[in-house]
Amino acid sequence: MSARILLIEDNELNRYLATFLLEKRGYAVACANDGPQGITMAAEMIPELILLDIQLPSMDGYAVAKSLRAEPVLNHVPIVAVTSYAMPGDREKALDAGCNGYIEKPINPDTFTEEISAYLRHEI
Amino acid sequence: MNKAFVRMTVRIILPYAVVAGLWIFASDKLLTLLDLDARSIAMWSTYKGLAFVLVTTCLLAFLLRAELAVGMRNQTALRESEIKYHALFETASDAILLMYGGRFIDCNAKALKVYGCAREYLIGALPSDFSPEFQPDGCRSDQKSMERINSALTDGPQFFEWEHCRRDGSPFAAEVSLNRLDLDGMTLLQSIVRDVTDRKTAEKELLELNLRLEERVAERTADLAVAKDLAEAADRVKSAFLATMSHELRTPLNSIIGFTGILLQELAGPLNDEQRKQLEMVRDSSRHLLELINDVLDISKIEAGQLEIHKTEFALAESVRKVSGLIRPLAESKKLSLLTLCPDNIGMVKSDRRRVEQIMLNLLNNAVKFTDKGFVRLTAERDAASVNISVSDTGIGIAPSEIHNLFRPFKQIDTGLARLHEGTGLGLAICRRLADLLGGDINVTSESGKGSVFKFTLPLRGQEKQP
Repeated sequence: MSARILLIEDNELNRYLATFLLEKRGYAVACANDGPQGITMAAEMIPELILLDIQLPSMDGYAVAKSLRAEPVLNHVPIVAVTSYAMPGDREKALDAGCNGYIEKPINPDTFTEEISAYLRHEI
Repeated sequence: MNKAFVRMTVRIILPYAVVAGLWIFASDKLLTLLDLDARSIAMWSTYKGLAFVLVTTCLLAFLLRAELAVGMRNQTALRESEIKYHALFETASDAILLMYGGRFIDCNAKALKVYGCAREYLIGALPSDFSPEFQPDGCRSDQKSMERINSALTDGPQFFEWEHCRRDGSPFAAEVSLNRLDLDGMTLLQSIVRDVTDRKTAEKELLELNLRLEERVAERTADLAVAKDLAEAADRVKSAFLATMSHELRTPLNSIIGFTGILLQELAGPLNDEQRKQLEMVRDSSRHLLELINDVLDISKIEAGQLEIHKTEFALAESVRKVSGLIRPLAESKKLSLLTLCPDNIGMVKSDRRRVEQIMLNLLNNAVKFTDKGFVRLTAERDAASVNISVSDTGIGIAPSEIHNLFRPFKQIDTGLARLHEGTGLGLAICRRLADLLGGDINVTSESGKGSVFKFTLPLRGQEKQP
């Protein structure tokens, strides 16, 4: 069975892009448009990996990561922040909030799925 | 009087009595020894009496003369001494007054000047006659001056500040020294008065000046604090703007780069050659745009002191392989040899891996960009405390007049080179500042038309410079 990935991303184009790349690679991708929806879906499906945008409406990615980490059933699921925030401390803030990794936007289409599969292999 | 009588007794009467007594005793003894008859004795006694008068008269005259000479000498010395001390008294720079029974009985010329009056007004007056009714501490001058006088008589010398006034009523500040003098059984007080108005005025001015200075310092500090707040607010706005701009520009770029990549990977279907060629142009342009955004963001972060350095231990040889792998396709497309000389045993370095790689990548990228034939070579060596990475090329080189501008931001934009070689001209400025933040340095040597060598020195145990 191919790994299921939950993508929490509010931008439609970005959602389409990541989904397209990941599905081509053979992953099953579920999408959430915002944080609360993402948290609900994550609890239902228990994905193998969560890709999390940081700049989200109403509830930002740091808060979403913290809520996900608070759920015992989701505790072991790797969370990778995908964000165009590139200001000082963003990486640390994402890691502090409970993310396992950090991919800066724009994503590199040639290596994106490679990076994702590395996080799946090194599952904690 | 008694003393003079005792002195006279000791120096005149006593020697006279002794000599006269001895003379009578000795002459009588001599007459007895001569064993003369009664008539001879009577005759010799007359002679003896006459000789006695003569001798004692001479003796008395001699003693009186000696005593008078001593008196004369003493009197001269006394007069000289008096003249001397009177001169000292009169020419003293402080007012000196003598008091008896709380009133002035004598004074020097300076005192007349200080109190601004003639001698007859001063003699017989009380110190409180030349003082305001109250002293600055609120005490009555007459009471307080009597207290001071009594203290000087019973407890010893007194030294204090006193508010005086002249005969015309104008006030002046003084320092007063009171000393008890005992003269011929009379108890007097010597008062030395120094007018310290000038000093007090100067002190007051100094104090006021200090206060004003403190006020101005406080004002300036407040101004600076406001300016600092404004600058910090502006800085925060700038940072927020940069964060927003960075985000806003990257979001559409994500789609452009992403979808171009998908199309080029033919994940969405096969492409013909022309489509591929044009999509590659889109990809290269969007990558270039991303580099520009990253450069502008980097230099802004560095200049705002917001760039954070994260040090980890990493294998330098691995980083060198990584960056040369990234630059190799570009070098190959220009048919340049890319040589890397980095021994595997060069070991671990403690620094910010990402930034060290960024510097090497930038130097290599520049070398390839400005070299049309020949080679680009990266050499890494270590010594006791640092790693030296040099990137040399056989490219166009840098004119001596341009070298000093090389590490300044935005300089390439001003030159004709900008048309031939794309870029913001920020790369080297960023490299130098990053090297600085990592505790290292970057230098260049170049010969126009022959090539350039960029040397990047990095401390092994990165002690970054304190900002």
